[in-house]
Amino acid sequence: MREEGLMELTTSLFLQLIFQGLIMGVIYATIALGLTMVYGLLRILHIAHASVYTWGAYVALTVYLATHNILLAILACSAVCAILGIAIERGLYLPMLDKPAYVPLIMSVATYLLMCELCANIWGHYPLGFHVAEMPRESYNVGGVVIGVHQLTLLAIISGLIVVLWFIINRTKIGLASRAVAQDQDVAKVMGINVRKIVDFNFIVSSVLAGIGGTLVGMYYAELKPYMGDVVAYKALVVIVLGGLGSVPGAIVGSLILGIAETFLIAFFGHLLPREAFAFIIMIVLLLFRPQGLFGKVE
Amino acid sequence: MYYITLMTITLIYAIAVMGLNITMGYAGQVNLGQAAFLGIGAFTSAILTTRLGLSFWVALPLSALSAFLVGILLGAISIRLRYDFLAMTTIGFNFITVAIFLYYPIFGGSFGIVGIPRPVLFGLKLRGPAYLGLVAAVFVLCVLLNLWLERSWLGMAFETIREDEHAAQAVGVDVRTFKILAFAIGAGMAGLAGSLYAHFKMCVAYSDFMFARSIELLSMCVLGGLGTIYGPVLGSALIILLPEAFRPLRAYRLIMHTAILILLIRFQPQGLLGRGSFLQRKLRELLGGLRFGSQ
Amino acid sequence: MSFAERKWIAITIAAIIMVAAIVGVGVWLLTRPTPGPVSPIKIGFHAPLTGFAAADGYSALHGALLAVRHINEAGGVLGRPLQLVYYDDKCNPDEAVAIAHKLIEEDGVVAAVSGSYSHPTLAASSIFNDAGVPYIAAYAVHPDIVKDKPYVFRVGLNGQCEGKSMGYIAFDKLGAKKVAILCMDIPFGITLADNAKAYIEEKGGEVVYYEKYELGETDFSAWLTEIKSLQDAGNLDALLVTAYYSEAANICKQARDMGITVPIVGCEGFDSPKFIELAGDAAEGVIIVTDLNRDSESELVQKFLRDYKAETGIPADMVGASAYDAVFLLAKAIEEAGSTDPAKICDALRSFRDVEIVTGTLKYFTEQGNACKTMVAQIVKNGEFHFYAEIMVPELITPPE
Repeated sequence: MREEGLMELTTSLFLQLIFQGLIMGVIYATIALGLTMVYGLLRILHIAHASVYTWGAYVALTVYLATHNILLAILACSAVCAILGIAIERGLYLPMLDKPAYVPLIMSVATYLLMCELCANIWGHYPLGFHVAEMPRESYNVGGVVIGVHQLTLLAIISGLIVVLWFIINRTKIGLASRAVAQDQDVAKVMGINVRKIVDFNFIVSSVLAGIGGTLVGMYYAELKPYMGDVVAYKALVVIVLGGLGSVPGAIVGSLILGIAETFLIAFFGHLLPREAFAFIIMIVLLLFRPQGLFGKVE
Repeated sequence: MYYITLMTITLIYAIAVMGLNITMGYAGQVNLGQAAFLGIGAFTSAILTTRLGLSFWVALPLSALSAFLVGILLGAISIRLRYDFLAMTTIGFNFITVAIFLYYPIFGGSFGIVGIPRPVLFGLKLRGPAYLGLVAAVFVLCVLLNLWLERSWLGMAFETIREDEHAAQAVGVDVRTFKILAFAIGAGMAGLAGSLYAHFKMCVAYSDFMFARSIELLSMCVLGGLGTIYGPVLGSALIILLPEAFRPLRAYRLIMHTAILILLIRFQPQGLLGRGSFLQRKLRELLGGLRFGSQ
Repeated sequence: MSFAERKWIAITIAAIIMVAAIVGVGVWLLTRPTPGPVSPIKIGFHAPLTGFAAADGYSALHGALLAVRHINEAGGVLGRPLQLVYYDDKCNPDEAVAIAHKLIEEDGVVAAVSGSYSHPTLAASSIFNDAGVPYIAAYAVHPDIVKDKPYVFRVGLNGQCEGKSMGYIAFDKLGAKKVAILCMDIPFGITLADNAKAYIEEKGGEVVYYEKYELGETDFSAWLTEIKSLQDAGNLDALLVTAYYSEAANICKQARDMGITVPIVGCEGFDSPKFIELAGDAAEGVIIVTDLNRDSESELVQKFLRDYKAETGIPADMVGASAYDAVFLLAKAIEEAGSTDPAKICDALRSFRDVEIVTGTLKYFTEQGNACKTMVAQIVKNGEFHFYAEIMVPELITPPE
């Protein structure tokens, strides 16, 4: 157990914590977005999404080590993740839609654990270094706040991807169709929307996002571990409940809020409870008293 | 002699899985955090015997009780939650419990509690075959409890809740109380198993009760057949003994658990010998009138 | 009880018996009785042969196997060959417990050695002690491993002694009056650091900086920045680090990259060829407290180093040497006891005085089963560990219990 005297909340400490929190937030967002999209469409908690995240990172590392070309690595990663996503969707979820709700959930969790174990068996149980020459690691001290270039890079790229996703969801036809399917599948079908294609599309987009997210996180920490998905997988559950199940803006906002809240809580109340416990307690309280979260619908 | 060890472990797990079976198989309440209750029982027994010097025979029922009480808590939380939310909550519950085990010094930190003593009966230390006897006795007690439950009003209430919660409420079944009971009884059994586990292994730590263990228990429950009496011990025996019989499996335990879960859930969610399963139907044809599952 | 209920109980019991029968037959089929005119003396062994700790497990296994080979070449024990029965515990306490049961009940070992880390060893030690089978931990450090267990011994260094010795090296040998400590946040690391700190302060030195980091940490810039500023202000003479080889390599690399030039003193966790490999140039001049002296004049040590390198292709380290010693001491105890009776073996172990082993000199085993033995400091020169100083002062090498 840690003993922490209460720290003084100076402006620079405050800003530093906000910065750290934002980083954790966008990391959570890479998985949470996919999770909420899949839930909106299929009402399934796609925990296996975190294995797409992990495998994406490992594939990227493998390709990078072979070619030393980070763009090629990310492309390969995206392709593999898209395939994985579709495979999970078609092979595991679609046949299970008529079974009781715990069936696809258990399958998803089991799949996640299975894929992580396979990962460990293929690439090894120990951490693998992921050093990318193009990723500069200098830090700058801006008025008492230490900011690293690699941190800004991560923030920038993931935020960019999130903006692209938001654009797709809100400004394109296929995004409109996705929202329609999420709202009411039967009506959407009547309107002539090919539900199958929409679900496929959503899986591809979210899986690619997860894979790239995993790769970026691996580059950020300069290492990959088979169970790197653990941190995000279960936290993402908290995020989507917070943001509202099925809501994309909810997932974004929820991720940032959780990332920042967690960072502050740990800094000041870290001696009361471990990090993991905070997030899950928040989740349970939300599920009990406001299950629709921030932007979700009351069902 | 080694198979005595294997049998002991099998039966200890079977008790915990029986608890899970009551919560999930009979009452239909999904619980992905059963390992947490196993841990609560184990740590209660460990702390009572090592830190407070109490006798095992006092610690055993108290372990069941402590798990039972926490089960009531989880049950109360579960009332307002539907399926997927409940599942998430039980996962969260598992994580929170394990985090508490790791964080507070009374649980021994990362190494946990060591030097847990063997039970002593009439001056004799119970180990090996004698310990197996103890575990078997508790197991049989749980089977009898399970049997009684199945045929009692409690069991019937559970079944109605499982089949259709709203209809049950309409007919006047107090769904809330029974949900709480479902969790509490399942937890209490896991608490018993936890105590037996602690005194068998003689040391317990937070890492023994993590989410992967809940999945292991779940896979045993599903494999054997949800909602059957023999399901837990069958599932437990198979999952523990298969890697012993086939050496290559040993390296891939978690892969085995998860693969079994996935395949079973996909093709035979009732388990190998659960109601309406392929094997059960064949066996029933073979054996004529004998009924293998309550209708 | 109705017929239905009786039938149910019968079915349940039948199921249990069925399961037991299947298991019993299966195991009986799998267990091969050992034939041969002179049956070997079996010593059990477990180590992490797969997983993240595999490097150390591999080292330990080969150290143990080498000991068995040497002993058998010299005629075995009590005229019988020695056999090592080993399993992979994946650095997992559950596996270790299962292996302990297997070794005791299925393989029928006379004694056992742990080539694994503290957590698995701790779990297995209860089982071995409860069954009355002598068990020696080669390099695991947790004090509870031997605590109140008459059948369990530890041949590795004691955390408090090692910590004090680190302080001794820094203060007495390097003349460092102001010391910074970077410590891994596990009981072992903290014990080392706390004892080093106590020693230095008692001798009149000053610990100007003391911080902990989590195992698995890869980025030490935050702490090293502060340490560097201490050095630049003239307030630092040496940096003490408690770490395992992976973090140790990172710390040394990052420290040297940052321009920290003061001497670095490490612990036995540094004692691995992996440390030198990962740290590269940054390892030069690093001094560690350990128990394997590569420059030892003892024929026993040199033979071990030679044969280990010949067999595995990599230089030996403390872990391999400790495993060698554990097996060596067990064999010697059985020989001196004249039998494989567990109580006699333990008595023989307790009777040892000033036994020369690969990892120094074993003065004796304490009441609890800890080893009181000499230590040695090694320094990295030209990418290899070499002799720096010997640590034999009784106050430093005697474990508290």
